[in-house]
Order: sequence, then C-alpha cells, then structure tokens
Amino acid sequence: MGVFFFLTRKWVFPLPFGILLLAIYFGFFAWAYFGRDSWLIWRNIREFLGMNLAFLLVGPLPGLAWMLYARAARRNPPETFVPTGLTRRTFAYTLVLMGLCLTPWLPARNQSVGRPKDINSVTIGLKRGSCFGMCPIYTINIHGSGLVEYQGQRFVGAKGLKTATITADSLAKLLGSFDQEQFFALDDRAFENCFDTPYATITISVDGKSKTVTGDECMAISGPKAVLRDLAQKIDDTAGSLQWVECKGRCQY
Amino acid sequence: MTVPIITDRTSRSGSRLRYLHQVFFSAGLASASTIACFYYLLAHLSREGNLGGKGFEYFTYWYFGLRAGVRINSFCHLPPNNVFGYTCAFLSTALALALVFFLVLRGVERTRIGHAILDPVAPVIIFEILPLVALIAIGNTSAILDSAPSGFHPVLLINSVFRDLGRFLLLN
Repeated sequence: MGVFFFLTRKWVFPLPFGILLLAIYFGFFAWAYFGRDSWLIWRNIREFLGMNLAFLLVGPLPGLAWMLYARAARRNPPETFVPTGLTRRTFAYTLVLMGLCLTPWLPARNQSVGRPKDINSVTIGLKRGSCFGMCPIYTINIHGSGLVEYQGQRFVGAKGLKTATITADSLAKLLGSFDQEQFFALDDRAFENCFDTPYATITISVDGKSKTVTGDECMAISGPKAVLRDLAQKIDDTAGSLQWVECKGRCQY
Repeated sequence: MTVPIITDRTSRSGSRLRYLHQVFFSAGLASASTIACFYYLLAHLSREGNLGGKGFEYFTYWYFGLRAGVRINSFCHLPPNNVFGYTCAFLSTALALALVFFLVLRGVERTRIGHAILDPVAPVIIFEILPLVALIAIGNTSAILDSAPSGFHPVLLINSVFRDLGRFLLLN
C-alpha cells in the first residue's frame, strides 16, 4: 500500500476512489469498535476510555483531511498555496499549550527532612493495614525524643500499646533515608493498585511540614513503589517492631 | 506544456486544507503513538508482573502516568482512581505530542520533505499505521486481561478482519 501511494503521488484521483478508500478505512474502525473482537475494547471502556475516545474521534479523521488535501495539492502544486509556515505567534501559543498539557507530569519537588530545626517536632508514623489473609495490622510512631510507640491490632505477636526507645543516631539515619529516597517527591495516592495485598501508610512530620503516602505491596519490586516498601521496612527495623509483630506460636487475632 | 492558472481563491483554499491536514495528521499520529506506548507498558506490566520478572522497571514509567491521573483527580476533588483523571492524563499527553508533530510539520511545510510528508508519506501512515495500532491495542487489551497474548496477536486479528469482511460480503 505504501508503494501504491508513492507511485500514484501525482495522480489526481477521482472523488469516488477517495470515497472508496475512506470507506475501507472507516469500515476497519467500525470493525474494531463493533466487530467480533470489539468486546475486548468495550468491556474495558471504563479503564481505557481515553484511548478509545481518542481513536474513535481522531483515528478516522486524518484520512478525510488527507483526501481533501491530496486532491487539491495534486491539481495545483502545494508550492503555489499561500505560504503560512510557522509564525512566532503560532509557535508561542503551541508552546504554552504544550506546557499546560505536560504540567500534571512534572516531577514533584522534594523537601529535605534530614536536618530538622527542632528535633522534637519530628514524628514518623507507619501503619500497616489488612490484606486478604492474615497480615499483621499495627501502627508505629517514632517521636523526635526517640520514643517509639507501637499499637498492635490483629495478627501480631503483641496486641495493644508497647513502647521502646531508639538512639538519636538511629533517628538521624532514618531521617537521612527519607531524604535519600526523596520521600516528599512521591505522590500521596498513586500506589494503590491491588485490594488483596497489605498496605502501608507512612507519615512524616518535621518542622511543621508533613507528608503521608499510602501504598500496597502489589508489584513493589522496583521504582517509586519499591522506595515506599523499603522505607516502611527501614521504619520497622529502626523501631525494632519485629519483637512485637512476630508471632511466637499462634498469632493474636 | 500548460501551466495551471492559480487563482488566489484556490491558493487560499489549498492553504486551509493543508492546515486541516496538518492538524488531523498530527493528532492521529500522536494518539497512535501514545496508545502504542500506553499498551506496550500495560502489556509488559501484566505479563511480566505475573511472572515476577525484570519487567518491573515498567512500573516506574507507569507510575508517572498514575501520578498525573491522580493529580488531575485531586485537582478536581475526585477519588484518586477515577477514570476522569487517567483519561485527561492520556489525552493531555496525546495533545502535547500532537503539538510537537504540528510544530514540526509547520516548520518544514515549505521544504520538499514537508510536501513529501503530507503526501505521499501521510496516507501510508494514516491507512496503515493507525489501523495497525488499533490492532495492537485490541491484541494487548486481550493479553492484559486474559494472559493469552498469542491468541489475539495483531496478525491473527488482521486475519479476523478479512474473515469478518468475507462473511459480510457473502451474506449480503
């Protein structure tokens, strides 16, 4: 077909030919959307609405536009058309619109929490939630003074409130991990994909700045989601939560 | 040799048609490219996600899409997983890409390459690549949901088009 279009590039094709070409083209899209396998698209219309919408609206229109242009350009050489080119105004408007379109994709700004002005303002929280099974449900809060508060709820070795203390060095190291992993640049809610895996919510509050990110462990092998999983593990390790979470014998429901 | 008499009206009309062609061609090319990227990521997430392979790097790219959708939903006070945000994120990406293509086409429109892109390169892309992307989209959608990529391979789907067309012609 490519060779055909190249060889006939100077042929002023009759209108019925163009209409036939478009009919085949529209017929294909009709098949894609209403044919035997169209259920593959339609049953997922909710998830893939944007793509289907774009294809339905935009897909067939370039064919029509090309047909009109090609007939005009083959009658009279396109060099004879009024030259418009890329004006400064078009360029500026296009760039502004492009910037607006890409705004939601911009990376978030990270904030440093490694060296807090007031160490007593620091609170690091970890909440591990339920899953479709027996996953430990508990909350840990680490305060700037070094106080660790553990609240066990279900499927843990120890239920209720437990406390411990960590050193200032351990806390500083943990805060450094938040900086290293650029925690403040993570999105708050973009990690919730699965309903049957345990989730973790990390909250940090330093010098009046606070940030909460929730995510499940579904597909947390690499990338930003793995960062969240690793941070949750570091909080657990620093707080020494294993002593309360680990079930010796039967877990407490 | 006869030289065509070009009136000002014809010239203006041709210019408008060229503009229209540039707009729709950019939009079609951009939506096809975005769809191809999107489904490629989604298919890899699904296939390699279930197998636990190295394909999880794809999640990093997927995350940026999720984040854009979540941001739009948050801005509109909608739940984070609302389809509106993801649709807008997808369409805004396609639009940004379309603007890039449009700028390039406008930039080279007076050159020989520019004329060649608009005709005869454009119809090749419009009549071949866009339908192929539609087939890939359908094929990958089935692969994501049914974990059976071989069953709906684009080649098999092309066969399916001709089979349905033949049946339609026979019955009518």
